Amino acid sequence: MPEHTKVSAEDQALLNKFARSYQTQTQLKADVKEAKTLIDNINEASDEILLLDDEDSASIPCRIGSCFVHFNGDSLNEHLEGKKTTAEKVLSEKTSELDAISADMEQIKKVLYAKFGDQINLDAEE
Amino acid sequence: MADMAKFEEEVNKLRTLEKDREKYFTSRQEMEMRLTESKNVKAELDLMESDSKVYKLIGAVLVRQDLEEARSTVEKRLEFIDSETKRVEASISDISKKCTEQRDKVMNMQKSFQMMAQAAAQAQKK
Repeated sequence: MPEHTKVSAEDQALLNKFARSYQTQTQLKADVKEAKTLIDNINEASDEILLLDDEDSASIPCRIGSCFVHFNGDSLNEHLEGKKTTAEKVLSEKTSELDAISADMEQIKKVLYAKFGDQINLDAEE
Repeated sequence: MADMAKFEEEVNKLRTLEKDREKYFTSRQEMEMRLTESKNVKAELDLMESDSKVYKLIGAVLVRQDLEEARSTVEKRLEFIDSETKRVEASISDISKKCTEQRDKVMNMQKSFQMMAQAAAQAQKK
């Protein structure tokens, strides 16, 4: 049995920080995915609207909250552009946060693995 | 000691195979849900008169769609799901077979270790 490395208070603090960061990272990944999905949906909807004939284009239902509001083609495109701009801003913000926290976690990993080697495991399974 | 390393390697292999099999089971479940949903859609579309209005929900937007186009889209989706299901079923049976073989291998190794241990114990008695 190899002698166990002693765990100092600083080490424990780093481990705790790593655990919190991991949770935050998971949430950010979900947020990024959600924003991407929204943008994809908006793009797809915009493409479909272009294909509508004049009659259908005069009245297109769009869900706002829990209601469907009827737009005409042009005003709906404006509405979707606005939503897309917002979603893209959110996406870039979340992506930046995700990159920053991932870099932080890599740094903590390096420090802890250097000290504890294979006595700890900080990698997510799969 | 070399035997022990070999044994651990085989156990890890078994663990990997079992994880992969779980993934395929999950895939199949998702496909079954999609199949059920698509069948329901097809049944509803079949009930419709040719002059009925059909809308497709894309994100938050309801886009008017031609009834025949909707029907053919659902038909294609059902075909795709069917072929995907067949592919996953094949993968499942293949990997299940591998799992069984690997499990037998591991159990055989375990047995031979036990017999060696017993033989050693017997030798010690004398």
